[in-house]
Amino acid sequence: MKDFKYRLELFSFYNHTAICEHLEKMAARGWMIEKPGIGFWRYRRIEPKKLSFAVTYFPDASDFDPEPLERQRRMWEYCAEDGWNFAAQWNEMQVFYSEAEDPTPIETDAVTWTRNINDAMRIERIALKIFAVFQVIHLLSSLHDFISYPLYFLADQSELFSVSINLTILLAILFELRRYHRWHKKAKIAAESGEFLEIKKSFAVWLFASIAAALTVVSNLISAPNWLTGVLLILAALGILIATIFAGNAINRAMREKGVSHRVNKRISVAAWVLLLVIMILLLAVCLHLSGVTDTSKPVGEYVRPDGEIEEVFDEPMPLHIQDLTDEYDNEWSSVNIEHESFLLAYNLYFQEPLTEEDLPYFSYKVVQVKAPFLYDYSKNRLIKEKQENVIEGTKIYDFPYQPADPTPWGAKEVYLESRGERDDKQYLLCYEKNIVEITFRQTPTPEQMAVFAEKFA
Amino acid sequence: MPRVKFQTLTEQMFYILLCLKNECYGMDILEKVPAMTGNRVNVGSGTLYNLLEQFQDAGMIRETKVEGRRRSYILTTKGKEMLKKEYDRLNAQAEDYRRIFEEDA
Repeated sequence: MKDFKYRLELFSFYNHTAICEHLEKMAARGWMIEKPGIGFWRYRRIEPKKLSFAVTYFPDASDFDPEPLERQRRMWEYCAEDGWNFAAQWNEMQVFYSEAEDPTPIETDAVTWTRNINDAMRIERIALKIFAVFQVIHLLSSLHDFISYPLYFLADQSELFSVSINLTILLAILFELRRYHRWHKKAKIAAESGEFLEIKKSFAVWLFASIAAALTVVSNLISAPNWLTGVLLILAALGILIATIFAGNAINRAMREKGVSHRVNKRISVAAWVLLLVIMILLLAVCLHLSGVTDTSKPVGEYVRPDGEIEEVFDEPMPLHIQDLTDEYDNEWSSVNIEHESFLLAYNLYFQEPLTEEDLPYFSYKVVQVKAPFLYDYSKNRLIKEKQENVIEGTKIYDFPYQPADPTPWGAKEVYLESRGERDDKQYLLCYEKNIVEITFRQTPTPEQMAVFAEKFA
Repeated sequence: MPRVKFQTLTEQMFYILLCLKNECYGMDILEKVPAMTGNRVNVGSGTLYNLLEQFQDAGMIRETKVEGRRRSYILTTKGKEMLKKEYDRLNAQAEDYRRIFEEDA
């Protein structure tokens, strides 16, 4: 039978009411809190008994202290005198239990109690605000990417996943901070008339955030093309996070036991947490690279040019090959695709390169497959707009917008054509039911070639 | 509007200071206050510790003796003044109450 166990607890740091209720239930089931902390709380087995718990806050206490502070010990002694035994500590949070039937509460002065909680929450609030700033920076960076390359962004599963997680965390933090400020404001007023303002079960906020994050993860993963890899990645990331927390805590505990000072312990522990996280992420990246999961393109052979230069040859699937349009070119081709696919869009680029020294054209096209119908018009208009605003390194290089063309021979809903003259390349935007294809021809395609597009993309 | 620290005293503050008119061990206050008030007022151990620290920082009490972990305290002149100010405030409140209800009678 295990004497210890860890449980994932999602209480707000200041929510002493919910924490006490929970610890009382745990004690009745035979588990005494031994070490609360970020995420996982450690319990040790005891005889099941009815105990009263009290959580109070000692603003100067820290988990980096080698020993409890002298003043902290004195407070414990006052509590012990009144029947309250020290059970556990998590930085400023001090947990006590009493076996008495109806013990005098540890805190009986609402004004002092409210001030104490607010002092203890100072670092927690700063940490949450810093965390929120990181989320905002990440979201702004994603917004910049979205504004710059919206279709590419919407087709990038990892970007969508990252945004939904950042947004969920940011909302949870803002909700938590607002909730605390509102509670504290009301608690100060209530304390003036000697009342202790109870805290509602705010762990629900983090529970909600976790469920929302989990649902986001699941919905993103099951709709992604390579969802199994995604699931493994998420599990690996969670494993890394949990391992970092446990390893960091172990380093902190070892230094405390060796009597290392608060300042040194804090610096080394924080550095160790960051270092461990970086090492584990690097390890994950190396493992992924070695396993080949991240390799999207695998060559099938090599082509040696007359000048001795070796080129890798690819044979990746494409919905349309140049050979489907003409039998003019009987040489070998190397075909490469760059595919991005999310549950909203697929944004795919296809290239065929001739394996010959003849001056043959490269064959390339872009296919945007719209999975979410509400994004169809947006995607089409965006491609049209990109054509009008084709800017490279600050210079507008095209000034020939798409003009509507006859969609009938293409079997499409709509067709747009950009042409600068008879002798120039012609770029088409072919709008089918779900696919939008952008392709350039040197010459006007034949009706037979147009019909092939209808067959492949309609 | 939240109170400025110690501008007025809460009931707990008042009775803790009252106990320290004469030198007294901090821990003994836990029993003295209920005894003094006929169990109407109880002081929690966390509250007692915090208030003794704050009173000492504010110069309202001073430490007189340390015996092992037991410490005794006594009111300072400033503490006596604060207590008197609070007493006067409470008296003024009581006086206002009396005047209003006597007018009604």
